[in-house]
Parts: sequence; C-alpha cells; structure tokens
Amino acid sequence: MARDGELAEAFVELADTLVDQYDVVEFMHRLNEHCVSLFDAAASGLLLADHRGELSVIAASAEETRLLELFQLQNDEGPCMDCYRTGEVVSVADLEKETRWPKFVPHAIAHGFFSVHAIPMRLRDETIGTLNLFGTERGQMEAASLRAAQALADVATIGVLQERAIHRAEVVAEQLQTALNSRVVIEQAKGLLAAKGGLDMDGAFSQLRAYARNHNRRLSEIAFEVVDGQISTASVLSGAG
Amino acid sequence: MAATTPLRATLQSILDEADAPESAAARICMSCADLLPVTGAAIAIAADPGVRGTVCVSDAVMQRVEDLQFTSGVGPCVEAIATGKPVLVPMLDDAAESRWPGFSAEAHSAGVAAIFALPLRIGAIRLGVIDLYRDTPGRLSTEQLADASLVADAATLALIKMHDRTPAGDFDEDWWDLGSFYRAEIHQATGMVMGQLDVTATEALVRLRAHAYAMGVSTSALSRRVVAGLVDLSQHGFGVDA
Repeated sequence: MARDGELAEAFVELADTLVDQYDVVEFMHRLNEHCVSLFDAAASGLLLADHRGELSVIAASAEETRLLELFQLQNDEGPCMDCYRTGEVVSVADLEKETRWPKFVPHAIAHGFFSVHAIPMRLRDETIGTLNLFGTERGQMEAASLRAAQALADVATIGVLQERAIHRAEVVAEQLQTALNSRVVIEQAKGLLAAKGGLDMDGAFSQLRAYARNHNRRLSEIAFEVVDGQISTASVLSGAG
Repeated sequence: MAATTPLRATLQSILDEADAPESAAARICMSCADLLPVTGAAIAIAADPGVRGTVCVSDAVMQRVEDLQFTSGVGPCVEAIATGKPVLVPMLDDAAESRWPGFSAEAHSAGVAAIFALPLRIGAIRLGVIDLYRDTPGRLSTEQLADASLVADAATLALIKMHDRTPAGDFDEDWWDLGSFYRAEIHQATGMVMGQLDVTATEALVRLRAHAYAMGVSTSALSRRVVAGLVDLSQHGFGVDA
C-alpha cells in the first residue's frame, strides 16, 4: 500500500523535475524507482509504443539485462501488450494460475515474480504505453494503490510528451520516437562503457547516470557524446570531468 | 517483432530485389510518391558536420531543395541530421516559419508547400536523412507519419548496407527492429564492439553484422553472446568463428 506522505513526496519530486529542462529517460528511471518503493514492487518498467505499434522499454527500475528482456518479451504477449491494446489495467494476482500468456508466464516465474500489474499510459482516447509492476509476492493491488499507480502513469505520459497540452498528433509521434531513440543511444553507451570498464550493463548505466548528474547534464546527451567520442569513456568511468 | 503490413512487404521486396545498396536507397526514394501521400523525396547521407551528399532525389523540385540546403547550410534536412529529431513543416510559407532564412522562401517558390525531414539514425549513429515534400500544404496524420517512419526504417537499412560487406539482398528480420529498443542486445553489443576494436559506432555495427554473417548466425544471436562476454571481436580475425 502506498503511504500518503511518500506518495506526495514522489509527486513533488517528479513535478519539480518537469519544470526544468529534463531528460526523458532519467525522468522515467526515477519514476520507476518511486514505483518500486511506493508499491513494494520488486521491479517496475515503462514501455512505449513506437510507430510500428511495438512496445519498447524506455526505462526500468534496474538495468539488469535479464529484467529488461522480461519487459521486452511482452511485445509478443503478456499483460503489457494486453493493457496497451485495451487501454485497461491488466492485473494478475497469481501468475501460477494464469493461462493467457504461455510464453511470458514461465519467464516471469523463473525471474521470481508471482504477480504483475500493467497500467495504461493514456493520452485522451489513445494509449501510448504502459507502466508495468512486478511483485515477488502473490496478491491484488489495493484500490488506493491502483489509483496512485494510474496517477504515476499519467505523470509518465506528461513526462514523455514534455507538454501538458499537446494537441497535434504528429508532435506526439515525434516525441515518442525521440524518446525511444534516446533509449537506443543509452544502450550503445552502456555497451561501450561495459567493454571499456569491465562492467555489467547495470554498472555501466550507473556510471553514465552518475556522470550526467555530477555535470548537471541530460543523460541522453551524455550518452550520445560518449558514443560519438566527444566525452572519453575514461572520464565517465572515473567519474571525473 | 514488427507486424508485416502491406507497406512493409513492399519495402522488404525493394530491399531484397535491389542489386546494390545504392540502388535500394534510390528505389525507396523513387517509390515515396507511390507509398506515401507526398509529391517527392530525397535521401542524403550525413557527415560530420552537416550533409555529405545526396544519394537520390525523386524530381527536379527535390534537387533544388537539396541544392538550397547544401549551399545555405540550413533547412529541415540539415536540422534533422544535427538534432537527430524529425523536422515536420506542414506549411512552409507560414509567416511564423522563420527558422531557415534563405531556405524557406526559395524552396516554396520552387514548389514545396510542406516538407518533412526524418533522420535516418540508430541511436547515436546518424546515417542520413529522408526528406519528403508535398506540393500542397498540410500535416501528416499519425498513421501517415507512422508509414513515413517505416519508409525511413527501410532507407536506414539501405544506408547501413552501403557501409556493409555482406550481400546486397541479405536483410534478416533483425534489421527491421534496429531502430527500436526491441533489439537492445544489438545496441549494447554495438557499444561493446566499439570498445573492443576502438572503432566508431557505425563501424562497430557493420563489423558485428559482418561477423554474424560470416558465422551464419543472426545479428541478435551474436549480440547476445557478445554482451554475455562469450565473444570478443578483438580476439578474432575478420569472419573467423568464435
């Protein structure tokens, strides 16, 4: 159950971020961290639909490759895809009793997850992505928590579209594509830093994020400059400038 | 995995049937007027900084637009390459459209009423840009923009192949997912190969692809092995099995 004080703090922190120039992926990463702690989830991820109607992970509470794959697997089948298609919350209290997704369920259980909740990111009558929460324990989300999770999913929508009153469909499509491409840049930077620093992908992501924070720069910009050779991998790996 | 739509099937056959990557790019460019609600198109290759050259223009109007952008150094296509973001201009002669002095008025008098520049990119790899124009003003709908993005995906594949050493018609399923996180392992492996071989991201992706081809595995399968630390391309001669 989300605690009221903590929930309020999460919204204040996220709203503060939205005022300044901010990075979409960093914003989403923080939102996922809040979700994990607010809802006692084991993992949280945000997936966005691209121009082909495919769901791609934009951010997750951890960058572990296997976890990202589990989110990504739902592009074929799973609660996220169903949530995206219907625009409705898809909530599974006990994955072991679930028969809808024969490919997804064994993977989730192998990961130690027994409950899953997918909440739509909505823009008027359109669904642009989903917020996905995994739990290691069985059980339904309480109504109050579901409402809070939907509110966070709505904040995520605002965060992706970067405008509170977007009225042009083409701008929505453009923002989604740009956000997804940022995510690809971050994957490339993670790989480069992992190879240079002998790190795993989660470790490489942490270094990248720490560098962006220390230099007060956007995560995606730092990732681009690292891949493009404008920032040396050594300076990111040492945390220096 | 991307659903096979009629548009994608058409683009796939263009890619498959082309005898060289250059001609695949050219055929995509020439087909835009049939595939999309646009009058014409151009595909240009990115260089650092700006535009290196035009691969193909579909008509004289687009040739004029490319010349204008090349000489003035400004315009939607230059901006799309520089920012890596789509630049959509549904009304070029709008009074509020003052972004590119020396370009907009000239392009409009050449017959361009609306222009849409989509970057051809894979993360930080900026390969080029596809410019689409209309002789009447108007926005692209969400569906039309999605279709245009699919055409841009195909053009991206054609440009990557221009760097590649694998046979022209060889586009496996992985390639359609290249622009998305769906193949995260390919992007992570691209970064790792950059680090292993001290090469650019473009070169790393090409080397990864060529190594996969030589080994007879898919790019994503090889990528997973690279990410898991099972394959280090610096430890192998070109095309030698791990």
